[in-house]
Amino acid sequence: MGQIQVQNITKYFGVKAVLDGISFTLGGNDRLALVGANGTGKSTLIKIIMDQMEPDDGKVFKEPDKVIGYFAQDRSLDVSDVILFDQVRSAFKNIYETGRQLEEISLEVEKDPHNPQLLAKFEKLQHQYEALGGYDIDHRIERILSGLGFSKEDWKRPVVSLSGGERSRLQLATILATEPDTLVLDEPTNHLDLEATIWLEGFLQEFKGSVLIVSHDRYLLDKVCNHTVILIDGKAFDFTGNFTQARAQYDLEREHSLEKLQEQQEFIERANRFIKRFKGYGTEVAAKRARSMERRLERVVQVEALPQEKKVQLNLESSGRTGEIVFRTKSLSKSFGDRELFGGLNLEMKRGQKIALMGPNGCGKTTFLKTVIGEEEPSSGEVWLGYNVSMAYLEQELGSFNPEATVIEEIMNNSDLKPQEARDHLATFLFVGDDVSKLCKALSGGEISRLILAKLALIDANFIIFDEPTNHLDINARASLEDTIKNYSGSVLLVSHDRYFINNIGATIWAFDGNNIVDTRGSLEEYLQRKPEKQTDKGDQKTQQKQKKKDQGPSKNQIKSMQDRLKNFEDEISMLESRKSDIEQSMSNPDFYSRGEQTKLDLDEYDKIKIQLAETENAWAELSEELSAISPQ
Amino acid sequence: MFRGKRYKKLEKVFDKTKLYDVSEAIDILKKLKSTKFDETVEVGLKLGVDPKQADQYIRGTVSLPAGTGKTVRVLVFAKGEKATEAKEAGADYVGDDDIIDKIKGGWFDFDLAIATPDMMGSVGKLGKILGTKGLMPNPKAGTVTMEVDKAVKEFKAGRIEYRISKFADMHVPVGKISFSNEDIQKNILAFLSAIVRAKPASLKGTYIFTMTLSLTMSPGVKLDVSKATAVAIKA
Repeated sequence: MGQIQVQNITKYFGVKAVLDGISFTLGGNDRLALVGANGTGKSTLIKIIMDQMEPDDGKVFKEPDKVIGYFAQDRSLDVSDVILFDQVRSAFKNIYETGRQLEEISLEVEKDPHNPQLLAKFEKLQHQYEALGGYDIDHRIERILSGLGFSKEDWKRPVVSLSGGERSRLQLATILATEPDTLVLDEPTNHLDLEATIWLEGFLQEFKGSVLIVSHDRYLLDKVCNHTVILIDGKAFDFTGNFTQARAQYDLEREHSLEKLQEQQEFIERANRFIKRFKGYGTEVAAKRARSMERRLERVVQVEALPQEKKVQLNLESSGRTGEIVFRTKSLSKSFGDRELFGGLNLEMKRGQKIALMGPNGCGKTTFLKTVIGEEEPSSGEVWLGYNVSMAYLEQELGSFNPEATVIEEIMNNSDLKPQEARDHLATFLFVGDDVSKLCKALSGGEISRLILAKLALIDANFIIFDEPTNHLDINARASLEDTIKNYSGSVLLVSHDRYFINNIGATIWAFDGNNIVDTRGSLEEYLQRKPEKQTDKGDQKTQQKQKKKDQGPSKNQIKSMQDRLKNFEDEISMLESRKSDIEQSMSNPDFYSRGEQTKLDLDEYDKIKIQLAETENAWAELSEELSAISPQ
Repeated sequence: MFRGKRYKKLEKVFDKTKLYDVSEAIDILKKLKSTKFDETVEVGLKLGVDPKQADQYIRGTVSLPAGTGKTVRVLVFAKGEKATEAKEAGADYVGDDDIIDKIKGGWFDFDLAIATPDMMGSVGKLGKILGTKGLMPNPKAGTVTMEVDKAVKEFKAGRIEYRISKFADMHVPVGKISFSNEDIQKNILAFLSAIVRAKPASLKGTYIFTMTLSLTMSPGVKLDVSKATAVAIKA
């Protein structure tokens, strides 16, 4: 049995079966990717697996005594003034409670040391505390926090001061500290910065247990997963391999199913013609054959073609042409209290450029964007906007709509479109039929993102600023957005941690370097190659140690081995020289050349020895030089 | 897993797939000695219990008849009369609040800590420090006791603590390779007999899966579990 067995899960929302007989198994070492368009029920399925929702039919079997760490998509943290370390601690209330009880009973034992019952109770509680890992819990939390890139100074920061990405990392830390056997991760890379995403990839590859992961990050899925389940129209399609392999396999199977469907339709048409023709002959034999064909037709099982995922059609038109310079910053700086996010920035964006702003979470990327659009006042310096620039801004927090409005109302309130035009427009963003009447507050993360894209497509702009536009977009929608930005003639400034996305739109990288933003004038690949890697993980430490050893020069053992090799060379040279001199001596004898075959053999050997001698002497000279360089004595 | 030349050479000394009697295994261990120091003889066990269940958590102490071959530095948390008793019994360090402060300051020059129950209120505060190093006194391990003199003497003479890991295995030192074959065998059998006696009543299925004998730096020699336990029970 696998660690999680999903059997025939069906779930209805209204009359629509969002999940229709879903079955798969998550084995002991599986890295399973659960993918599908937004709204196909991935998060619903995860909630059913995690017992947060009841299925209408089917069952989920989980191995008993296995700890499942669940990283939910809706990661709301209690962002009071709790500090980061205490936030992780709060996940272990039972351990700290046992510790408190142990302390209490220790004091009782101290007062009544001769009470055997009390001592037995103490022993039981101590065992329980030890089994829970109570003595080690603080160290465990420290290890995980450090692994996730939180420095010691960060541990005392209030949770409220953390950025979106830092909060995601904090929640991941809380889950990992429970030492789970299985990880269930629902869109774990949303809000994670590049470094944290790369760390997560490495962590999941090394994780000793099974992983069920819902993500639209194609890099992550390809690097980590070995098993993929694709959800389309409520059905599950199970494949071995990573996302790209599974996708290719699905496309192939879909093509085959279409071919089969076509073959079947051709057969049905032929059969119907045959029946009609034979019935028209009016003979008994012909009627019998027509009936036989009819029976054959009745037995035909209708072939169903595999469904195809729907794609978002986003079309962005640039309104008018800007001047050569879109915007320019002059000694721009921004501080919050004592903390300077950026300072002395002199940057320039040219017409038609696509720029991706990179930097770790919390470094001030969003603040920079907001300063450019004028929503944030700079602490000093200024942003100069070019001629005829009209901007549109897609913000990171997806809350710029009226939650009580319906989808169609939201579009009509923000445009001059008539109802039918609004419906047509929304249809290109996959809002069809009753979808347009959904309240905004009832939309899934992906639907909200599509709604914002739909609103964005209506905006007349020639300079668009996106703040993490791919968060909550599914893989197909990301591909559509990539194509759209690539073909957009206006200028684009964006913040994103999706490597596929940035590479595909061919963006130039502006990178945060401390409190400065550097125009790298290169692509993401070039930026990643140039970026000095932080030597934090064990692998890097090992490489460093190796390099250090290399720098320190050869060890005693290596020197000894070199000396031995030198000695062997010397022995060989002396042996070869001796043999050479023997042959030379015999060559001086007049009878040497009259020995027929033996003369030929000796001459051959003589030639070989000369070559061998030269090679050995060279090798000896090189080694001798090397040795004298490292060990002059 | 990477293995050095020395280790690979030692692996050829015996048949790794065969299950040996205790005496045969000790003979092999003597041939496996390949270092300049006096290596420790270690017994490794894989048990069929679930350490998460309180009644299946195997932990206790056993006196090795031939000693451990190691000088154990014993610290006793006690005051008054009990402190004097501990000192007389040969404890290396005895104290109460002064020692507790010293440990808080990072002092760890001891291998075992014993406490009288009336000190547990104060010692409990060292949980995070002593617990992570496996040095926290515990009644089941015989290190929380009023009979400090007896405990000190026994631990000094070769009483060892055994405890199952969370992966249900156990590694316990049972002497030095310089010991005579008979002494090593006596120690192994005493330990095995304690383990057999500690079998939880609630356990269903196999109790001891595998048993291995090894030196500090040697491959493990597999023991025949049924034969070894039978001999241990008789002894």
